[in-house]
Amino acid sequence: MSTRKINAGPGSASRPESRPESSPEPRFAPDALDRRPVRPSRLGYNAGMLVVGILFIAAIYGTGMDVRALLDLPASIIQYGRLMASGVFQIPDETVAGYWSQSFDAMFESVAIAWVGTMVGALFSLPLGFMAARNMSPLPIYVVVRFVLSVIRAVPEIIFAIAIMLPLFGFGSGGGGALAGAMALGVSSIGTLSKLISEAIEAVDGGPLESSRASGSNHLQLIRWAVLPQVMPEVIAIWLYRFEVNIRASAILGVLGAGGIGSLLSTVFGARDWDRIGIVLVVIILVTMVVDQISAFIRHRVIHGARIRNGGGAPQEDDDDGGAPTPGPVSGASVEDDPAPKSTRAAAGL
Amino acid sequence: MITFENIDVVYPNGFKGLSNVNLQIDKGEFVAIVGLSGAGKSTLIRTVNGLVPFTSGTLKVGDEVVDPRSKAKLRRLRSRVGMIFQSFNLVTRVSVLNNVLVGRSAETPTWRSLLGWYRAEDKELAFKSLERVGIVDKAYMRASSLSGGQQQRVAIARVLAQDPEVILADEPVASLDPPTAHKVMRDLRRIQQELGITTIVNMHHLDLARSYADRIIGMRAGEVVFDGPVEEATDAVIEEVYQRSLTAEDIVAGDAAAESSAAGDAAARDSATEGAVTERSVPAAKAQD
Amino acid sequence: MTTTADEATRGSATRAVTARPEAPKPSGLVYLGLAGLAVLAFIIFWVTRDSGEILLIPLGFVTLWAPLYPVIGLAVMLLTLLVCYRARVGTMGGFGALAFITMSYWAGSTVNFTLLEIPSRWSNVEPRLRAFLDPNWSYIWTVRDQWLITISMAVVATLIGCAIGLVLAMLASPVSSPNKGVSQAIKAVNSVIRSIPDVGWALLFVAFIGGTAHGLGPMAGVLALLMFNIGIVAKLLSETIDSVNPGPVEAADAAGANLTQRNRLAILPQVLPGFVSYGLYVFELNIRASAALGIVGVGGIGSAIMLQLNRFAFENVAAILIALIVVVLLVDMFSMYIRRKLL
Repeated sequence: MSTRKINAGPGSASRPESRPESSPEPRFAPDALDRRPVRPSRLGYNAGMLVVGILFIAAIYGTGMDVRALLDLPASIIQYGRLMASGVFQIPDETVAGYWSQSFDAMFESVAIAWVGTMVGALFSLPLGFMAARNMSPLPIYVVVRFVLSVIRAVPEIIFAIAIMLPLFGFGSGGGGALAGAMALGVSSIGTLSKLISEAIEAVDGGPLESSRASGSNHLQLIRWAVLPQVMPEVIAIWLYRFEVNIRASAILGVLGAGGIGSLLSTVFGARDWDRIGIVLVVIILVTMVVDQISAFIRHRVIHGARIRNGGGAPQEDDDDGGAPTPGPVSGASVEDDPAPKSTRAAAGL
Repeated sequence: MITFENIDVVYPNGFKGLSNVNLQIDKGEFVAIVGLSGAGKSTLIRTVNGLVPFTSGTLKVGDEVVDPRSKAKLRRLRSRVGMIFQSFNLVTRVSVLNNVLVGRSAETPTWRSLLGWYRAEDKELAFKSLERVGIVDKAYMRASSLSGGQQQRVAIARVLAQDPEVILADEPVASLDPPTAHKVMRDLRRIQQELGITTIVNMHHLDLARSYADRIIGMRAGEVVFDGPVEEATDAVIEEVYQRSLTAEDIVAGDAAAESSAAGDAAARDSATEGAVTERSVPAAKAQD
Repeated sequence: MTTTADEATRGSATRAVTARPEAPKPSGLVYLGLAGLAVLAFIIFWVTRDSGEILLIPLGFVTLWAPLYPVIGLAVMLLTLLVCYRARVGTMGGFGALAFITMSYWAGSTVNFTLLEIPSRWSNVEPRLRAFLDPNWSYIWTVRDQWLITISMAVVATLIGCAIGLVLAMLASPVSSPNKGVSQAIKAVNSVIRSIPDVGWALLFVAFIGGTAHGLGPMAGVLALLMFNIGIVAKLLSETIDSVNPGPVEAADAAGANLTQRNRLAILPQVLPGFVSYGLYVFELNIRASAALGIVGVGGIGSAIMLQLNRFAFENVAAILIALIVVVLLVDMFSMYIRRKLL
């Protein structure tokens, strides 16, 4: 310490990262100006920014994209946008009504594909999630399952579709393509779902685990009564989130021949039938937004519980919800007024 | 300097924050506002710089009439009025210096803020402010690595960087331990005396208010119920303000050094250097983070 | 302290006297209504069924018939409701279970869910799987240009997408936006952007400016990925901004900062870690997506996959796919490294 103090004279200015105890010894402190620390080097940061910049420019060249194409983009957006709008806003005659119902059917099929895919993924993800949680499974199982999961996550769903599911179940909406798409989504969902679930399980509060071990429950009882109650809301939220992702992912599989909205998209774009393209896009936006809203509502409901619970049951549980919203100063006054006398009593007692 | 004329504040939810407040605060005064929680202390302070808009009455800061509806005017006003908060309100992930430079925002062109390229004179001012509170050696450290007392001093430096005419402090020491609280209050008092800045401090610790302020304003239920020099704020008067007897809660366990130099010019003459010594001699200040 | 002790003793003293509480029971009437809903769903299933299999129920004097699968569905629904009722699940829980089964039944029948045909169709898969297990390794190197394009597209789209996403997120979050109207409008625009799937954007831009056939595939691909990234980054980041510590924001306001300065000085530093990790996440997604989007003609490795697939050259497809897995794993490791290094 004393040697440090000697070192920490005027020269200490060159040590900006100095800890509190090695700050300049005040009695020898020279002019206040001299004690200003030297600005730490930002070389690493600047170099990093430079690398990102170079990477960006190199990547623009690397794509070989023709930036001049952007010049025509606004014109074509307006042109085709007008065509699509005229398709959407025309008064539907019989053919156009058919387009609408065809679009809705295809979109609902996509939702169904995503639902079945999510179910398949969910079915496998819960046990695998437990196996991949460090606090729930022995090391060998943990390592193996983690490895398998990370391989599954690395494989894009189109690979499962092309390599296994489409030849196995057939192509096209009628010929089993929808099922093939659902299975491809299901298998590729397993990776992400299990990983997220295992992270949720690893984050559970250890207290209940310890107490139920202490009371002699076996592994399954432990999972049922100590772990599942804690993680289930989060697991359901994870499943629902994946459902939303799968609806979007089913589109690309549809282009490959797995039915649903993707097949329709590739048909209408292939024909450059802008009226129908507009209708399909509007249907996609409508249905996706509605499903997202419903799913977000359920997720919120599952995680935060109902606002009001009818009495009778367990009043303790309600306290966690923090039921009353806090309207600023009003509750501040009432809440603060209450504990003050109590703590006063405590202070007097001490 | 600051004039409240019949100021009312009604919150959107209908709660009456202030009712019919009339005050005249002179230039260079050190005013402490005391009262129970919810008495309207915070509201009163935040009305001065427009963080809480008043609903009726007239408020003047300097010669300027405060108009809570004009954003541009409010920004100009806020550049002259600095504010210190109970929870320091530093951006913990950036350096102390950058936190202090936030105080220069009103004088800095937006593009400079965006890029983080501050003018040399702004940086100089920031360094001078840090020197005034005695933690210039931490200038390039992350704010999150400082103790609570040090963070509050960075917040004071941020205010000083604004070169303010008025300093508002909302419970500046409520989340600090007693020795550090005294130190921060001493800093505030010294700065107020050196620079002649009008200072308004909210606090619920009566002893701190009595030791450091020139004048005490007592509030209850959004109204000013006491206004007078420190000598007049006897226990009986404050009990009237609080509507209950005084308890151990209302005072901070003072440290000896603060007691001896309380309310004194000795504290005012404390150099930044001495602040650094005491800082190190009190391990509690460091431990508390 | 003393009060709680008091209460505890009082509690134990009175415990003997007070009656044991009944376990809360869900309303039977509501459950009856739920059973009604189940029957309604059954009727809808019956009307819209496309499988002709029926179930015959001989009762001696008359033989009832009903379609097989809807009856199974109804049985499952009613059984679940019964179990929920006996297990004293709340009415909302019962409704949730019912909705879940109905949804699953509908989805299953829409995709014609069956696993019975797997054995008979396995012969279709076998040659492909064999090809995939025996990839044409020499082919990996011949498509390196496509790989370069894919990765370049991902980099460009990620960087620009994150920049635009940042601005949109700042405008979308009520904490950082100029006013409520702007925030609502940007949120609406963003949810429209997000609801169109990546392949939809790719098809749109290919149609707008021409695809690989016109040599413009990468441009269309970058634009498609860009829209895809903007949606994700803006959504995630605006939620992060919503939960930012309001203290520094108030302090910046009190110092007279304008909106831009406040967002830059008080909000951006707080959300920066989140922003970086969203950027890395999006980069990973882009690599996968640009492999898939090649199918609709936006250039990159996906177009090579499509080409070989159309020629039934599964060995070559397998080689590309294996390389894809390796690249995705590498990107995953890279982003984990960066994340650990920066945050």
